[in-house]
Amino acid sequence: MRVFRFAGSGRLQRSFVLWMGACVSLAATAGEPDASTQSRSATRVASGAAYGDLIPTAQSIALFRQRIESDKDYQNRTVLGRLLLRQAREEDNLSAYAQAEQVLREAYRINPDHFATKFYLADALAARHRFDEAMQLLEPLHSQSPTDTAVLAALGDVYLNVGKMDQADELYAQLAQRVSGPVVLVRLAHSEQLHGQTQAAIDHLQEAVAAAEQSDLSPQRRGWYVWRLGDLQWSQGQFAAARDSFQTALQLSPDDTNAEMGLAKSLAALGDVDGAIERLQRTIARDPAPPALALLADLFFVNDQPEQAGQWLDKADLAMAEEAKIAAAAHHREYANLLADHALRPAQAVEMARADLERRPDVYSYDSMAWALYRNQDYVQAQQMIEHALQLGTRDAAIYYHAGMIKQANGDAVAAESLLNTSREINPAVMHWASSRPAAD
Amino acid sequence: MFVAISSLSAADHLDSPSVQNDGRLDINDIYAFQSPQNADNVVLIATVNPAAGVFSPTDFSANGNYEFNIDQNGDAVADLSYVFTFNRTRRGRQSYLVRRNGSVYASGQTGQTVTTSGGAKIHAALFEDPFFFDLQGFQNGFQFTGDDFFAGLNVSAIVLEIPRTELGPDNVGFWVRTTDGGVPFDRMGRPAINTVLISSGSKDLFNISAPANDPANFGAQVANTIATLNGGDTATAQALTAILLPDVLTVDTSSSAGFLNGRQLVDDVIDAELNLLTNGGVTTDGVDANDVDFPVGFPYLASPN
Repeated sequence: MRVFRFAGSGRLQRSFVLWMGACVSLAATAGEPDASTQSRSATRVASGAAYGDLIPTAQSIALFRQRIESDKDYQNRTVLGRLLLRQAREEDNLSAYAQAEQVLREAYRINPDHFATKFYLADALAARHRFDEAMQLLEPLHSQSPTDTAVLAALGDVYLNVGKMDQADELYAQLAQRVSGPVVLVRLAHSEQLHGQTQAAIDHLQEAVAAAEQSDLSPQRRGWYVWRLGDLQWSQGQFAAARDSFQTALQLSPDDTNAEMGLAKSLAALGDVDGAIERLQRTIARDPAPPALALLADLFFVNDQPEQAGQWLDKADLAMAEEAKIAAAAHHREYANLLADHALRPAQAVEMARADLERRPDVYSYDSMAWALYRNQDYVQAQQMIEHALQLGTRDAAIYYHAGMIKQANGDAVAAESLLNTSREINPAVMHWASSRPAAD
Repeated sequence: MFVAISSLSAADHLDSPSVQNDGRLDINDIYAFQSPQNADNVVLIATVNPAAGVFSPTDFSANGNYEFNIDQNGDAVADLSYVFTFNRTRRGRQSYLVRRNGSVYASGQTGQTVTTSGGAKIHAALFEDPFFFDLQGFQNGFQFTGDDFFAGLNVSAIVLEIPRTELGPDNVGFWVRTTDGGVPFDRMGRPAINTVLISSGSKDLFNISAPANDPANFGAQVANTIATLNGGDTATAQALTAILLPDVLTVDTSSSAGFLNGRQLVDDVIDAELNLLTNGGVTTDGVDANDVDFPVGFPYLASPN
């Protein structure tokens, strides 16, 4: 008897077997099917997909909404929840995350023992940065099925996000023993990046890109790995390599806004600020993503065009405020950083950063908190927070820049200079751009 | 290598893609029956990729093998293997190669029937899911409504029709195995064995182990589960276990009879197994046939939805 396999990943599906034994006690009461309600479910999954492709997500969503006929149907609800999560990620669709969580909670309420339902509900919660709740679901799943690779990866990711690095590294090591390929390599790279082992991280990401190239992943998915490499290269001041990576990412996935932003940053860092601005404006015309608006503001500041910069900064402020309302926790950090970078409403920056830190106490949230406190002129607490951010040795130019400014504010000019020099060594663009902003000290 | 089938970005673009197994290597069902068009032939079918196109693409994995294994002497060890390997999809088709015991047997493209000089026919493509079952009713405490949960879904399937003599004796055992990058991924013989009678903690071992070791590895577990299902009749449970393991679909190719002789597309294996495993406590799920009629001729599976 085959289970409803696609309510979870392959291995995951096998974990929620239809235990006939659980139904034995009901067998005595099971009757013949009610003839008056007999029907042949005729909801057809019209493929709508070319051979080798996936059915368009919106189409699958529509069809699985139709398939839910009973208030006891957790199987189709779980599938629908997965599809909504996919839609949310494909489109950066914030409301789809909320819908995914809602339908997965319905499935969970119907059957709280269903492995796949719990897994995907945890996935939805983690996507909305509710990591504690995700952990509460994933940890028992891991105990129940310690070799399940999807759970190893998901729980490892949650641990990484909340700063439990040892636990994350342990799970990633177990994952690496069981699977290979870009999904593992990119996780190893992420951990190495956080630990300050950036060359090892770059090496693993290059491996991931090569492995993705050899796989049958779609060009869009391969493009993400290339983007990821470019992002790390840019963070380390390897601007030419980053530019090349982002260009490759765009060949694989044209109109990828994140790759366009990365390319714009790279071009600007290499001296072509006008070209970066032009390119980014075309991107924004197609997709006015709030981070792109903020980046455009920064580029105009760097280009000594403060009036235009101010206009785009206002737009970014409004757009991020709106996103923070809809998506709440998932966008607090981004908004806190914008406010702190531009010394806008410091108290609100602290509030946003604190909300992020409570949910996601990783090095970047400590950095955001430190920077917001600095803008709020609470230099003592800022120092405490930035020390947490520096603890792992993450080679991030912004963290070192913030640390230097905080040291300076606390009267330690020598330490400040050392930290600022480190920031310049890692990525000189960060301080250069920061000094272009009107908020620069 | 695992393929990250999941979506690309997340609430944070830095979030790594989810780890998911390749559904294209996930075996749904296997079938073995005397050809209705030619009693000298036997038809072997494997359907994979549940709900093809929803979470996994509508093709076959280019990183895996699809193995049709034949036991000719009852020891649950493959004496014959037909191994299918697929290239990446190009312009809506995949080319594939079939090796029989390591030698090239046939090659072709998905969506087209390949005929060999020895009289074999092969077809690999996307099809309508031939499985039928009121899954929801089962999970709602056997409150069956007669709704076929799998209606409207598609699968990827390989259909192999060959002269019976090519398999050797009339009585053979058949199972299918998939591998991913050379690593065993899934295995199936009879319906229900892996999915119902093997505990979640043992499934990985089941999938990577050989059928010949099933009695030693899983016999006690299976017998206990059946005894739980049938109200504690341990004698019957042990007798059934001896029949059901190793997990190999046995078929007398000289007979046109259906399940438990091989498995035909029209066989209501759910009713048969409900009845068997519950000692007659539950006899039907109310879904007696597929939602779509099966074609009379090769490849016997209905066109995709």
